[in-house]
Amino acid sequence: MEEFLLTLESSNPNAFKTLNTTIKTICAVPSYRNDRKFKQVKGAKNLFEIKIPGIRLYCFSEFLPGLGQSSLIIAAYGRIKPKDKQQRTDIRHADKIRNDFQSLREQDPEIEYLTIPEDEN
Amino acid sequence: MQKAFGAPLDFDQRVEMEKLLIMESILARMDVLKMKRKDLAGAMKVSSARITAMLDGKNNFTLETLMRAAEALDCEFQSCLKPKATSPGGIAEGTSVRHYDFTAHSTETKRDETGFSVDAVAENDNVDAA
Repeated sequence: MEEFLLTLESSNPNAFKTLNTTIKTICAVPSYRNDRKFKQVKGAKNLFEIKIPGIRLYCFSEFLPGLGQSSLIIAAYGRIKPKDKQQRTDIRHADKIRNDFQSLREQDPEIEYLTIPEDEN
Repeated sequence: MQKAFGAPLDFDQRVEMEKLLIMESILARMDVLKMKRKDLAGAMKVSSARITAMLDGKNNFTLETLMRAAEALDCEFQSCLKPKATSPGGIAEGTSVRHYDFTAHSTETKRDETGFSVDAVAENDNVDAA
């Protein structure tokens, strides 16, 4: 994920800025309604896509005790200019990350991030 | 990465955020009125594509567009300039602030140069408590 964001920041700074603004706006509103920017992925529970032109970033929300009342949007997977087939693969991948993260949190509620092995990234 | 996401938004980003927040207000009101996007387009006398552009944050709202949206949503349009906390006459975040015109005031209450009246300013802040 970090590699995706770093690549985007260097290759397309304007898109990175837009993504940054969009994420902050989504977080600033208790129940974000604009489905042109943020919508639930069909068939995947608690998995959402952040949409900016040419970019899809999949994420889910989770209550993190360290941050108090607010839920945090956790970036699960992202891709620049995805094609339909890639999007389906990305959604499966993001859903697996979400499941893995939530399983780990059941064991240890203090966990705030998941490290993904290089070959799965 | 944390630095990039943690940095305050620049002017262009703040403009983009405000556009998205305006659309959120519009969408929230549409929910209350059970109004669909094509209904809003019709009531505002604009095309559906224009509503889509607004949702995408591509639309540069004019005052007329905002007032058309307000009318279409049976709302009154209000605008507000609030001095930044660091600006002369600015008010620190967390302070209870009401605009003078919305404040039930006695004749002794005076409007300051910002146009805001301040209910209470924290004294003896306990910085250790934070």
